[in-house]
Amino acid sequence: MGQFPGLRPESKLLLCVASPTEEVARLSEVRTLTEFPLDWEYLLGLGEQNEVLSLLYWHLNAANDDLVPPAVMQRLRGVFFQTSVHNLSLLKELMRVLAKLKEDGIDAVPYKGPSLARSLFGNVAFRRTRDIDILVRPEAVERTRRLLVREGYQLATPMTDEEMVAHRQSHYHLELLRQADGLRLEIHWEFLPRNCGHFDASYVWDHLVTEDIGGQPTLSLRAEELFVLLCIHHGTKHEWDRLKWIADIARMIETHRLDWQTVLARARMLGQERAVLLGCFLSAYLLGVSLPAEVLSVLRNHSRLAAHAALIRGRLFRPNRGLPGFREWCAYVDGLTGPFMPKRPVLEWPRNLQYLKAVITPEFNDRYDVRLPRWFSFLHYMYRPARLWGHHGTALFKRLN
Amino acid sequence: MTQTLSISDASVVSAVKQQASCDLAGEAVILNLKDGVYYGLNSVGARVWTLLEQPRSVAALHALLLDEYDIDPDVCRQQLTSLLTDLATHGLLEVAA
Repeated sequence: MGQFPGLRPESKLLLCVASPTEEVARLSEVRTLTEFPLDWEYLLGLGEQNEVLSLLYWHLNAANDDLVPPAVMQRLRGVFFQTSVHNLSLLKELMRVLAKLKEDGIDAVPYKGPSLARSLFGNVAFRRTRDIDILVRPEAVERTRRLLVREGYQLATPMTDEEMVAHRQSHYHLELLRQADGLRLEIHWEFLPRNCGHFDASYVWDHLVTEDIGGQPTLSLRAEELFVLLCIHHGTKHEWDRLKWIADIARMIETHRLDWQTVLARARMLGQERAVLLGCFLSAYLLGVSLPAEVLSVLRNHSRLAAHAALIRGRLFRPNRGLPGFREWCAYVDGLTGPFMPKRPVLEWPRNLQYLKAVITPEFNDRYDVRLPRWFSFLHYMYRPARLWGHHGTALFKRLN
Repeated sequence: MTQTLSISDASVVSAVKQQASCDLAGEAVILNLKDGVYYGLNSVGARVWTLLEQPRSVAALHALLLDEYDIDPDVCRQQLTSLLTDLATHGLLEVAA
């Protein structure tokens, strides 16, 4: 992370605290970075956008740095405490719901949310979570919904029976809210929307493990399965639009002894090898994670990941996740170094064409906002520039130069 | 639930499994998953709680705290016993005689 010339020190500080690398080195780098004249409001805004404020607080506090204004530490401490209490309350409710479902004979698998925070960080305070996600078998969805209604939940969007049937056919989860306080819980029968590709939940049911959560044996995803799922969820669905997503992947690589042959085979089975490789690439490129030989050898055959990673990096550290300009993007590409880089030239096409391709390629939100039949999906290539124009206005053209 | 028990130097103690806690960088909050009640610990209490992740004898805990803090041994023992008794009273501690 000493690379990235031209990156603001505020952005470097966020990369540092999000990295799962060795703590002593990280704290030393935090102290070094706080010696720069930092724009603290900018840092807090960027940290909020990337959902890493808890990690920022933890490291600034551990670095025991007098250079941080007390008011900033106060705000960060408030966010950290709030995240802790919120996540613990989600965990409490998750365990209660799982126990109720078990009493009723319903198998349920928690994933993402507080269980992921606990699995990745040990301390649930480090990762902000919004809701509870549980997977149940398709035939158990209605029973689960009725049980949760008895427990004080209601559908976030009321539906008639007919609308429910249609919803079950076209969607992948039901969103419920706890009436007392609006706590959100999602019942999944699939993990992802179809636009993200087919992540076969029935395969997952045949390959579960049991984990101890709060003293209770709990059905869980195999680590390799979870890793692939996160790469698809964070990447294909959310386009790596916050540093928190990349930190998840980096932390899994560092802390879980993954069977990489299984990971890559599963990714290929799902047609999601690129999503997984991009997650690995970003973890190495931005957060300094060491990748295993099995992944490095495959990465070297995917030279175009570098262009995509450069676009993602530019968007992470731009307020409101705006598009990085062409020259800025070229600087990112020029700065790409590491053992994970492909042996042949990074970009076969001229730079301006590579940038244009990276920019106009429709993302998940483009396809989700405007649903089109497959033979009309080329129209997304027109919708996306229109959406970018709406976001950037006339400044879009300056960015393309 | 109130437990009446005696904790001696030879007692082996550890955190119960049915809980979740957050290290708050100098403090800790513990959620008892059995009754849904939250508890807070100050910095020394948080350190003891971290040590309780593994079963340890009270004597071993006492020795570790004397290594880390500049405190009178008798005061340390008294405060440690008081904390452990509190934790046990609230169902957060497993005690093996």
